[in-house]
Amino acid sequence: MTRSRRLLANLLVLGVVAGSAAAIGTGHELWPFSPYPMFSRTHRGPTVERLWVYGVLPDGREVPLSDRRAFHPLRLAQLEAALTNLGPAGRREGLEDMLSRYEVRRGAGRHGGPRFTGLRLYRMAFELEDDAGNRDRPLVRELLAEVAGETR
Amino acid sequence: MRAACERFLFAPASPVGLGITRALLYGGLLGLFARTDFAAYAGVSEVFRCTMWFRPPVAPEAWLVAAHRVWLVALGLACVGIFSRLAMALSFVLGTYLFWIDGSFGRVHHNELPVILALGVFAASRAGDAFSLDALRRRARPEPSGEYRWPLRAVQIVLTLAFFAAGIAKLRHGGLDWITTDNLRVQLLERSYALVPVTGRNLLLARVPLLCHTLAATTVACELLYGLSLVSARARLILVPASLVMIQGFAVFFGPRFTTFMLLSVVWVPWDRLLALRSRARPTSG
Repeated sequence: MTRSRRLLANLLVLGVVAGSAAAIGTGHELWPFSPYPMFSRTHRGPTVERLWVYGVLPDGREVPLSDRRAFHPLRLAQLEAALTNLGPAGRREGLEDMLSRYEVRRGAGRHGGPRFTGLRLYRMAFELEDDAGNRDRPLVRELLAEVAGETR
Repeated sequence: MRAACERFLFAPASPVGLGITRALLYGGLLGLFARTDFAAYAGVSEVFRCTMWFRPPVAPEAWLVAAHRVWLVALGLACVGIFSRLAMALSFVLGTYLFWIDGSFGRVHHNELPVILALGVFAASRAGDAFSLDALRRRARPEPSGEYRWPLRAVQIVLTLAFFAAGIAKLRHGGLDWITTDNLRVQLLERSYALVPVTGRNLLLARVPLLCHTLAATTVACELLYGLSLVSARARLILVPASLVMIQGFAVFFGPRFTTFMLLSVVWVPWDRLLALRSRARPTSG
């Protein structure tokens, strides 16, 4: 193994260690290095808050967007993180984008969901129950943002 | 100390172990990401992008489709080991861009980060020197060398640092409360109140608080001690399988699948020794 190859290998390993140490030390995401904070927050209950997106059907009823294909290519974690960090105007823009992509994909047969005339974003608060039987009975259901598409 | 580091990274190893790891790693990535729709990000609003030190521009849809296809071809070529060096370099460059795009929406996707680093390491390696079509074509049999040890060590270090960071994050944000309080049980229950809930398995586990405490303690211990696998074969025999069980547990009870961590764990398998054992066990003919 030549000296230059050995130097290259050492530099690569050092780079990995230094980048990871910086991410761990600062606690910040330094892509592609990370402090890997998944699941690290402590949760105490007895209530939980989540953001839920509802689709508005042509007859005015609301249904939760609980099919992952509805917000493709975003994953639920990406969607929740973005909507949590956005302000009111950003949330409306995000919902408009989701609705238009949802309808385009529905028209192209990429998912079998119903037609929506609008989307609504709610902050939901639940009391934690052992069987989660109260999923449809939130303590709080606060409208944060709303967009309307075509009403035809 | 310096000599120990030298031995650790560059002790001579046969090229076959690295070659087998290369084939499994690139073949696995091909299987995992063949159907990923990176191109769909071309149509997603910039409002969903997260804060990063640099956000790469999202190419038009047709370009993303092409980049994904070329990346898959490069992964396939690297897997079978033909034009290995070019294929591994291309896999790294295109993979980095596609994963960067994916990770710049909403939040960083932690499943992809160690893969980028591993692809970078392999792109700089001589992993195509054995167990490859290139090697068959050349009919060369390279001697054992440090060239075939350091890439495996580097990826082992990547995994170690990722697990260690996850353990430190839990202690930093939650301290011992992460283990001693109802934290894990509550986290399991919370999963059922998400817009897209996980299956009911999380509720079954949440019914046994003692098991939740035990699993929380085991998780943090496994993450913090994972690095011992670098220096102890015995620790490796316990901690690497334990980490695989832990990752599978996250998938079953919480939802996220850290599949790439499982795939990258092939770097711990001592292929050289397994092959040597196999050839010793095989009865001689004639």
